[in-house]
Amino acid sequence: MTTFPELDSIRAALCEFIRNNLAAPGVTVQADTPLSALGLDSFSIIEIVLFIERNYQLSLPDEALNKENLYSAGTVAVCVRRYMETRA
Amino acid sequence: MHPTDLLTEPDVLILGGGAAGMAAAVGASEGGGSVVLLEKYGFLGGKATAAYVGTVCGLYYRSEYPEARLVMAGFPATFAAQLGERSQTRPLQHKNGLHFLPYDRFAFMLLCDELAQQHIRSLCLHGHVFAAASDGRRVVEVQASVSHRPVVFHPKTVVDASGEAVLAGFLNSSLIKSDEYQASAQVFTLAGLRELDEQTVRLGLLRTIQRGLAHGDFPKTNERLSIVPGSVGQGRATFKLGIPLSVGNNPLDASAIELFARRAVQNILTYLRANTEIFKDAWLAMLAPETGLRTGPRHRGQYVLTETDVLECRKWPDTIARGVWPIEYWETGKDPRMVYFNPEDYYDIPAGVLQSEALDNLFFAGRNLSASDEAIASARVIGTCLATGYAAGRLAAGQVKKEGPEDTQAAIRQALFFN
Repeated sequence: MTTFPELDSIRAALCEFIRNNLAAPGVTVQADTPLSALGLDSFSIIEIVLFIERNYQLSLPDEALNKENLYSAGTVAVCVRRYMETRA
Repeated sequence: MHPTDLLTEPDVLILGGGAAGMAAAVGASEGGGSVVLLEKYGFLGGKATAAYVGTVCGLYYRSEYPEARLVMAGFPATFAAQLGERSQTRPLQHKNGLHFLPYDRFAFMLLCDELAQQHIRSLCLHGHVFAAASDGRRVVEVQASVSHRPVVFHPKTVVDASGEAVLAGFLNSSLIKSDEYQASAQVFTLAGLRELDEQTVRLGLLRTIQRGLAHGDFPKTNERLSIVPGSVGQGRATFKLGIPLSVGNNPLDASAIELFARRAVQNILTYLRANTEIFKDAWLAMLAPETGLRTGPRHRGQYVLTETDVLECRKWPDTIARGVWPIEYWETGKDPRMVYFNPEDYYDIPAGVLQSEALDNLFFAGRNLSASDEAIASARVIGTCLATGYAAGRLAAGQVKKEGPEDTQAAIRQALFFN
């Protein structure tokens, strides 16, 4: 049986990536913080999508790049986990 | 309009049938003048149709409220209402409180055609100026090729709305020039896209470009590719490609830019089809006939509008138009630089900005009005062109009718301002 990273670990990895690479220094990044509230533009959001590709060897399909999935690190993590399961 | 009657001694000769030129025709006609208009293409609309700008900016106050509030009444407001209705579009709110109206290119063209029928005595499509003369005080003659036949005009007044201050070159009159102008852009529409919302298409595009740049199979010279806001729907999207070549005063600059742009569009289409699900069946539905040059040389007027006038929202007693768009400055190969003034405020455009300092009967409007590089980066947008054009046409007609300039200016304010 294939095992996937736990949702919590995906969430934590995404938050860390955003904190270290995309958010302004000193800004608190939590799983439920809206990405728009962090001042992230489309380029930054694509950085997150490309991070997922590198880190989890998962290319999210185009239709997954929507507002609901890309609302916060938490919603992105749920989406990543769902597509991992679909792929398996 | 009388298609067979070519008037060669009009009250007002307008050069250019873009937003400013069409507005000038309306202003001149409402002021009681007979109008002849020369347009270089076989269709009207200027940059709005030939380069397909895609959105009318400069109509609405910048504001945090979602509802778009018009800064001017009269012709710009009527034009926007009719354009929106025919395009089936509504004003959109963008980031930083900017509002603009997306439009359909063909609707813009047809609306201009109708205005031409109502307000222009002789519409000269395929019309190009090739010589002009002044007596030192007034423009006395303009020679043109109209549909490849030479025509000599002796206009009472001239409004240069050519966007490039075309008349100044022939009259050797004073110009505001720069070594380099703002970056150009090529607009095109792809059809056959997967039906997804605008944000998803935008992110899908951005992802494939970022991947291509990283792998070296998408050239860096094509990286300034974006989707025109409000253009995604029915399997179509309109794109704007920033051209990485500089725009200077060499007459061949535009030719190099056009060649580059077409090759780039072909390469982009091939790349997107091969590398993204969204675009795999895409085809080129429209290529704007002209690569849009944002700015060029401008006439020197009785007054030169400055960056400070714009950013401090300066007001003038002899105002004839209002600007609301921020300074949006596109340097070649860089992201646009936006400089904002206060929301819910505007700057005045005084009459001296539309009138030649040397030639009494020469007026100008639109992108070639008398303004500094920074000020024109705000005043060049279509919404503002609709107002400066209207005012220039009305001022020209007023001069022919021997109205006092203050009376004409008051009439313009009455027509364009809410209070």
